[in-house]
Order: sequence, then C-alpha cells, then structure tokens
Amino acid sequence: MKIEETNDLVLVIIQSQSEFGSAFEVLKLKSHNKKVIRLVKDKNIEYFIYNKNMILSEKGMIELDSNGFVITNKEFSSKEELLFHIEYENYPNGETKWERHYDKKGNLLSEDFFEKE
Amino acid sequence: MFFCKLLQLFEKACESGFDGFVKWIRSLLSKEKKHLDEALDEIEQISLKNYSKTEISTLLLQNNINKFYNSSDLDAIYKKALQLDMRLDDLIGFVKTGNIKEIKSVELLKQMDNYINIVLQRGYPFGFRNLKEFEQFCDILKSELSSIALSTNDIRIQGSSVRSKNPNDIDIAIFLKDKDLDIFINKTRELRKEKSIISGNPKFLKNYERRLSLGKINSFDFPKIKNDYFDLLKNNMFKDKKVQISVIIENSSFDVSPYLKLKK
Repeated sequence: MKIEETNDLVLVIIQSQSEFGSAFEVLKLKSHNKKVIRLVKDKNIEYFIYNKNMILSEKGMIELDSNGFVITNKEFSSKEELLFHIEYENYPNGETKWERHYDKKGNLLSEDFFEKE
Repeated sequence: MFFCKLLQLFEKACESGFDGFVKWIRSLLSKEKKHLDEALDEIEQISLKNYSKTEISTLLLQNNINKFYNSSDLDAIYKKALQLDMRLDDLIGFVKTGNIKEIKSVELLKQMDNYINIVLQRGYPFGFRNLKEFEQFCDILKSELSSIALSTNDIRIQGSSVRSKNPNDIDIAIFLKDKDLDIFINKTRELRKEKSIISGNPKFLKNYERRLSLGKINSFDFPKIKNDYFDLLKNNMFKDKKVQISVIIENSSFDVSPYLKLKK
C-alpha cells in the first residue's frame, strides 16, 4: 500500500491482481469523497470514478505507446458517451510535442505545441 | 517611453487649464483602483503620432524578429500605420505576427486596414454576421465564465479574426488581475493535479504547467462548466471555425496586439 499526501487530498493506492491477471489499483480520494478504480491492461489503462455512494460518474481510457508513454486519453460519461478526447504526439523521451483536444463530436478544440525541454 | 506618454497626457490635461490638471491628478491618485487602471489604459492608447520616426524605426527593426520584412516593406508598413493613426502596440503586433506567420507586406497592409477601418469601426470581428450576433456571443461567453467565477472585466478578441476577412478561428483572451489570477491559477492547478492522480496520466499536470509557463491557461484546463464546457460557443455557433478561449498572462508571448476589447 502506498500513501501520498498533497495539500487537500489524501490518496491511498492499493495494488493487487485482478481475476484477469491484470494489475489494478484502487484509489480513494478522501477530501472529494471519490473512489477510483484503475485497471492496467497491457498498453491500456482504464479508470472508473465513483461518487461516495459508489455510483459510477465517469470513466476514462488511456492508450500507451510501446515505450509506455501516453498517446491518447478519452473520457466517457456514466452512460458511456464520449466527453472528450486528447491526442499526444511525443518526443522520443516521452515529453509532449503536440497536444490536441477534441470534443465529443471529434471537433478539434485546441492544439498546443511544446518545444523540447 | 512610459514617462513620455505620461507627459503627453499631462499636456493634454493642461489644455483645459488648471481645473483640467487638478481633475487629471485626482483621477490618477484616486483610491479606487479602477481609476488608475483606466488612466493607464488611456496612456497605453496614445497614438503613433506622438513618437518620433527614429523611435518607431528602432522598435520596428527590433520586432522584425525573423527579418521577414525588408526596409522598404517596413517603410510602407510605417506609412500605412501613420495614415491609419494606429496605436504603437498594434503596429508592433502586426509586424511581429507578420514575421511569425510570414504574411507578405501587401497582405499585412490590407490586414492593418481591415482592423482599423472595419473591425474597430463597426465594433465586431470577422467571423460574425453582424453586431447583434457578436453581442449575443459575448453575452453567452460572459455568462459561462461567470458561472466558474471568472472575471469578465478584460476579455479581448485576438488573432486572425481581427485582421482577416476569412479567419481560421476566433481567439478569445481573458486577462485577470493580481489576486484574481493567483486564485484562478491555484484552482486550475489543483484540478489538473487531481486529474493526473485519478487518471494516472501525468501529462494533465505537466502540460498544464508548461502552458502556464508560456503564458496561458486554455479552456480545457478550466473548471467544468455545466453547459458542457463551451460547446455552445465552440460548435453550435461556428461550425467551420475553432473558438479558442484562454486565460492569458499579461506581457507573455500570448499577450498580443491588435485586439478588440469586449464591452464591460
């Protein structure tokens, strides 16, 4: 078990093995009464955000490249409707080169270019 | 240069005699901060005609960053700006943008004309059909921003929609003062931190910090707005254009002229 503390939240991470053999983590965000379950499956991470009554409020999905760097991040409502979608184009060291935000209809909302640090 | 401008305002105030001078001093020393802000805004908006040609030429050369324009281009740009009675900040902004976007001088002259004679005259940027549509857009925008406690005192339309008749996007810059800015940075930073922790995607916080260090917080980093972020503004009104909404840090590279300030 790993405990992290920031200014206004206490994070408890419990790591274990799921019935599918994948690693998963349970995060409890104390100050916001949220509970998060994160599933790690090969090159994908899925996270499920629950309210204090354990009702699913949002779900997210992250796709990693072969080096383990994030290349896409999607979030969905509890009804499985896409809320937004981010695409990352990375430098070889994993730093973001381009970040593009899309809305639920796939319209490009914004794009940012970052110089290599 | 600031004191030079201040001196010019002083001379202007004295044109109305001692009463004018006293009134001006009172407005500058007023305990109400907004008076000082307005006085400084007035100072900033002094026309190009108050500077010597040498002063302006030096500034233009400094801002011809990529040396995209030759001396004859710069001369034509300067003459056009004088003819249009342009503000110095706007002239510098046009030269800077022209360099970065490699806008040919002939096109830049047209854009300068568009800004002064069309956008500022009619009071709304390109991309809108009429003033009524623009005002409707502003009302929705201000209401959305107020719902997340963002000050709407200084909102500017920047970028191609104040320069070109067929803009690619509508760039909206929100400027916050002192404490308001600090509060908003703290709030958005905490949100990004939490988002990074919850999702396991460190880029939420890392890229937020990188954007902030460059001088902006984009609408994606804002607290959630109940009306589905800015969907109404971003998509329903402009099907063919992007609407970029950001908080811009004063004097950063994103604090650019020319712009159209929204009425309070």
